[in-house]
Amino acid sequence: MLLLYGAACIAIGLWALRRTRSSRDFFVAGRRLGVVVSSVAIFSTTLSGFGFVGGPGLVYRMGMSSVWLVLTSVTGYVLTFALLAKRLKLIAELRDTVSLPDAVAARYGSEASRLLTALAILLGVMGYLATQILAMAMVLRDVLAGVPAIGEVHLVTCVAISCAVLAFYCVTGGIIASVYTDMVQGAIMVVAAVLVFLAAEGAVEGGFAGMSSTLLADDPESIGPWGSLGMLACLSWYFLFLLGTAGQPHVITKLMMMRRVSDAKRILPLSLAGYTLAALLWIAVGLAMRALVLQGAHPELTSPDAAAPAFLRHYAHPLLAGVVFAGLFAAIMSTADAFLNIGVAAVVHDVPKALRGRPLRSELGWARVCTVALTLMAAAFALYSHYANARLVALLGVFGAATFAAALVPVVALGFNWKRGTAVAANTALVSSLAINLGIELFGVRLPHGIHGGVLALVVSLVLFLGISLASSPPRLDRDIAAALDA
Amino acid sequence: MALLSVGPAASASTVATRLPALLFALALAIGGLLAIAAWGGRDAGPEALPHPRHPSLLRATDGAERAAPVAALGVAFAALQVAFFGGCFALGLRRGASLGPIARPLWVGLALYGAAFGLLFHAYRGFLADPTAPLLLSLPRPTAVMLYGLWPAPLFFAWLYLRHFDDWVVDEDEVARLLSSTSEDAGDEERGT
Repeated sequence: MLLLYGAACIAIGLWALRRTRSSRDFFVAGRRLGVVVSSVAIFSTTLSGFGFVGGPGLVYRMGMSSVWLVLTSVTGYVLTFALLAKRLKLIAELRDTVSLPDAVAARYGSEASRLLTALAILLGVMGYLATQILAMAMVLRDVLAGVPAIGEVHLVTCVAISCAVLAFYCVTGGIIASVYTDMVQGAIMVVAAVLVFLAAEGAVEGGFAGMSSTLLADDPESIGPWGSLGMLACLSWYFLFLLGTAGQPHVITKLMMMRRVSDAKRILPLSLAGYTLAALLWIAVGLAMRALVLQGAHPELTSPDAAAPAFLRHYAHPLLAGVVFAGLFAAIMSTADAFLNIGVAAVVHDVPKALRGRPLRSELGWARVCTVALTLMAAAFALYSHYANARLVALLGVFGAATFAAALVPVVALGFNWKRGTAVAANTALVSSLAINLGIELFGVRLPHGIHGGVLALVVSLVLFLGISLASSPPRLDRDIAAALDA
Repeated sequence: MALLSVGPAASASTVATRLPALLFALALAIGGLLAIAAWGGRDAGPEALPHPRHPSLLRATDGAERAAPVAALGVAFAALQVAFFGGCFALGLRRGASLGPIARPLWVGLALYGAAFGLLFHAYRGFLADPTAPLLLSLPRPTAVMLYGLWPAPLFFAWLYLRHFDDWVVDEDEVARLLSSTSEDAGDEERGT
C-alpha cells in the first residue's frame, strides 16, 4: 500500500513538472485551482500526522481534553473563510502575489512587514518540517518492520527514503504536485478515519457506551468535557486554535490559489466535511485504547503516541491497517509538502525582495534548488534532534504553531479586514509574537491551570496590533488595496 | 445592539470603526482574565497526576475541587470567546461600513453558540454532583452536549456565510469591476496620466 502510494506521488510529480513553468505556478499553482482540489488540500494540510498519531495519543493519555482542538474545526474554518477567502484572494489577484508575505507587503506597503512575516514562517516551518520528516520516517520504519522479507531498517535510511519521495515531487511539481498528491492523501485519510471509527466501536465491549462506562468507573473527569487537563486549559486551547486556524500560513496560502473568489462558497463545506470525518479517528482510537488498557484487555502502552499504531495492529483488519498506515503517511506528507513550499517561498522570494527590493533572477530554478536544500536541512535537523537533543524539534514545533497564531491572526486575519491597521502595529505584533513565544519555550514558562502559553502571546499581539492602530492616524493605502478591503 | 444594526441607522462609523474597538476591549478583557487566573492559581496544585496503575495515563484530581475556584473564570472566558468570534466574523463579512442582511441572524447565531456553552456548563455542574447519571447518546451528559451541541452549533455561521454568499459576501460582477478598474488605474499611472 505504501509502495503504491509512493509511486503515485512520484507519478504526480512528473505530471506536474510539465505544468510548472513559472514561480507563480510553483508557489500558488497559477492561482487556478479547482474547487475539489482546493477543498481537499485545505483539510488534509490542516490535519497532518498529528491528527492520526498525536491526537489519539492525547485522548488516550488525558481523556477528552484534546478533543477541544477538534471542536475548533467548525469555528476555525468558518472564521478563516469569513475573514480571508475574499480579501486575500482579491489582493492576490490585484498584486499578483505568490506568497503570504507578498500579500502582507502589499497590504501594509512595508518591506519590513514582509521580512518579519517571512521570518516567522521560516522559523515555524523548520520545526514543523523536521517533526513531519521524523514522523514519516518512524511510520515507514514501523511498517517495514512488519514485512518479514525486509525486517528492521535503520531510521536514517527511512529518513532518506521519505525525504527522497517528498523532495522529488516538490522539486518537480512545486505546489501543483503538492495539492494533487493532497487529493490522494485526503481521500485515503477520510476513508481510513471512517473505517477506523467503526472498528473502534467494535473493539470494546458495549461500543462507545462501554468505553464511557469504563472511563467513568476509573476517573469520571477523563470522559467529562474537560478531560484530565481541566476547564481553563481546554478553553485556552479552544481560543488559540479557534483564531489560530486563520493564521496557519500553509492553510491560508491555499485561499490565494483558488480560481475564483466565489469558489469559496463550495470549498468551505467540502473542507469542513473532510476534516470532520477525518477527525473521527482522533477521538475514537484514543478512547478505545484508554478503555482497553483500563479493562486489562490490552497491555500498558509504552507511550501515548503508540495508541494508534497499537490499535491498528491488534484491532483492525490487516487490510484496513494497511490503508490507515498509508493514510497516516499521507497525512504527514501532505503537511510536510505544504510547509516545504511556503518555506521555500520565504527564502527564495520574500527575503530577497525585502532585502534587495527585487526578486532573484530565475526564481523557479532557485526554488527547486532551495526545496532540496531545505529538505536536507530539515532532515539533518530532525536526526540531530532525535539522537542528540530531543527538545529542539519539539521546541520549534510548538513555537511554530503558537507563533503562526500570534503573528498572523492580527496582521493577516484582522489587518486584511481593517483599513486602519498600520504597518507599525503589524510589525510590533510580529516582533512581540516571536519574542514571547520564543521566551516561553526557551525558559519553559508554564501558566497555572494548564493554560497554553501561546494564548498569552496571541492576546498580547492582538492588543498591540489593535491598540497601536487605534491610537495612530489612519494609514494612506494604495487605491487598489483600499478598494479590496472595502469590497 | 446598535453596533451591528442594519439599514439607514448603520452609519459608516458604527460598524466599521467600532468593531475593531470592540475586539480591542475584548482582547484586553481576555488578557485581564488570564492575569486573574494566573494570579489566583499561582499556588494551585496540578490539574492531573500520573495514573496510579497505568503510568502512560493521566488521572484528574477531584473534579469538584479543581472546578470550584475556576468555574466563574471559565464561564467568563467562554463568553468572551463567543463575543470575540462574533466580532471577527462580523469584521470579515462587513461590506464597506455595513453588515447588511447578516446583522440580525448573526445575533441569533451568537445566542445559539452562547447557549450551547451555557448548556455545557450547566450539564457539567450536574455531572459533578452525580457522575453516575444515565449516559446520553453513549456519553456522559456534558460530554454529549460538547460533542453533539457545542461542536455543530457554529455550523449556523457556516450556513449564514453560504446563505448570503452570492448577494452579500461576494458579488462576482463587483469583483470583476474592481479588478478591471484597478488595472485601468495601473495603466493610467504607467502612461503618466
